[in-house]
Amino acid sequence: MDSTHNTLSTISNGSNQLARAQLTILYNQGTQYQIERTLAPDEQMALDFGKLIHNRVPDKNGNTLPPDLTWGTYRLLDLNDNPTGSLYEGKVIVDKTYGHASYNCVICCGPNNPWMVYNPVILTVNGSLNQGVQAMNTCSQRLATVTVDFPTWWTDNTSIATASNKQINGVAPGTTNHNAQSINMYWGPKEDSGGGDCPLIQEEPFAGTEVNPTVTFSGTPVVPLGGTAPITATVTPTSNVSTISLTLTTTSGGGSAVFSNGKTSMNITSTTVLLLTGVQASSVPNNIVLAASNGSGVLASTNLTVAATGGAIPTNFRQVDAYDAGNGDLHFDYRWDSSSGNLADLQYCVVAEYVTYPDGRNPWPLPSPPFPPDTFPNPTNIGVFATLGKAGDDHQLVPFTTFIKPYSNSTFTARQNYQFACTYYDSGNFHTMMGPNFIVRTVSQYPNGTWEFTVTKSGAIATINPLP
Amino acid sequence: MAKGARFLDSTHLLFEESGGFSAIMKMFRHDPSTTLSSRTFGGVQDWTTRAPMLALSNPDPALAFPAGTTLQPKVFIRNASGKVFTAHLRFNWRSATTSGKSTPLDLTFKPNETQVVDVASLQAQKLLPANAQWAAVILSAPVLPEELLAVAASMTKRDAMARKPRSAISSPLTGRREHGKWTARTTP
Repeated sequence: MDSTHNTLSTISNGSNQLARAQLTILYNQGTQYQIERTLAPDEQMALDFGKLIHNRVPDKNGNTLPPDLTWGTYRLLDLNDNPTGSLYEGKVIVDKTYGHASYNCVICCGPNNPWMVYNPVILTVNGSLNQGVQAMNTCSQRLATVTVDFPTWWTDNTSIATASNKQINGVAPGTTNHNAQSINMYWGPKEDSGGGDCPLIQEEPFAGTEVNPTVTFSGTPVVPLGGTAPITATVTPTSNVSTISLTLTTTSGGGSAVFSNGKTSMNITSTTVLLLTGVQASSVPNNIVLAASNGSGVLASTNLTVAATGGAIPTNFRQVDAYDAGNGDLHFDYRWDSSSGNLADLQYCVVAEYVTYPDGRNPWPLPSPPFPPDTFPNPTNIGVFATLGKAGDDHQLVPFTTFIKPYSNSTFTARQNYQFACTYYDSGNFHTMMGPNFIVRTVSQYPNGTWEFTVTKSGAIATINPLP
Repeated sequence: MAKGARFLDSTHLLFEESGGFSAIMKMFRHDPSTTLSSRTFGGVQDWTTRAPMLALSNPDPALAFPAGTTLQPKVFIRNASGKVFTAHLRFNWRSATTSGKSTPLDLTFKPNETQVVDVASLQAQKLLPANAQWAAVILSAPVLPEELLAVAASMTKRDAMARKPRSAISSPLTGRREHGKWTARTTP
């Protein structure tokens, strides 16, 4: 802009709702001058760039344009990020030197060729994952997450996976695609809007979905050398028919174990109690890996040690039950076996829990309020005779169960291992059979103002809702 | 044109040697398969085209016309379909000190009819104020995209056109989404 040149521009709201327009003038290699204004439907904002310069009109940040500024570029944004667009713009560029004026329009910018963030989505049965959609902005060439522009989601086979908005849920083992459809909005390359283009379309990106069965192994950390030990591979769902490969591999040093077929591999499709035989002692603890896999990869694994035990040891430690026992008590039932097949042979063994709390204080005080003013031994180490073959575990609040007001959002996590020890094995040291498990206790508020207590572990939950 | 081809592109140049004037005329794309939903922006339901800056009879001093220059703003509207319909034409005008909106004009079109709206006469009839300098022209109709086409243009009178300085402003009307950037260099 100078005495013979000027640019006049208008920015208008062509929609039927309020729009927030931001005009940024870029000059002198990146310096910015910004004007923002809310425009009612049909409202127009007129700009005389020459006047902005010569009258030293400050922008929203108090900056002014240099008086000797003669040219620059500018960018127009709809700050409401309305994907269907609200603003339109026009300008007249005047050159008094020879008497000429020209008219022009901006170009359309927008995301283009959207894609799913995860492809494929790999899930377990009953598992879920939040998918997303991204695209490159055609003008800025910056990555944009446009998931909110996709209100409609579905899968091609709901018996394998379902979609709850952007959350993809595993139903049964198999593969299918999941899809999303955008709102009607501008997708495409930057395009001269003066040509009347920049059409609205509804994009439909898709991605694969692989739903795998889940496999969990019970706790058999030690397989007696020359003896056998059961370990349960639990497959979910019970209706699974896809093949799951089991392998025994030695990760380092010496040592080996085999399945009941005398081999280091076998296939299953459903929950199976495996009988492992210790063939060669481990030179390194936990150096034998029992893994379950399918075409998607490893579904589960556990580490074992083959060792001379000097007698029967607890094996096949497993959860058989979990439920909300009321009043904030999360109850579990566990079972285990003897490597000899006879629980009575475990008379010199114990099975115990070992629980630690977030810091080293002993006893550990619950954060009260809002929790009851209880304290827990830290660590908590409680054992039972291994000959019982079973134990219950209650994660409850003792001795006090009354939550203290004023309530506030609060949570703490305890770390728990189940372990065994036998007087004749490894000098009576404890060995973990299951864990770590995380016991999470939380007090939280609902939007309606009520408060809730939850305690969770291993996917199970007990609640007090609402707190009195 | 090969069978099945969907578009025929063209360019229209206009020039007048005696006056030393030339212009690239606006050409429109008309794809009969274009749906209205692909062009209904911002909750607007009808096919709507807009010219945001039509210079009116009384030119803005910023345009630097010689004193006394009067412009002739016109809107050329064509029904590119075989339909009969009523289009609605309205103006959001502004002068040096104020702004306002005109009462909408209802224009009934016969099949393939072209009409010219003389905006200067509308100013003379006080549909728009005589001292208004600019208008955003908004044209809508219940038709498919590009079945209703328009060009808004404002020019000096012929005697003014014959001498310098002179100016011609043409405004393609487009329904569109604006969300991006444009670059303009205004130095010679």
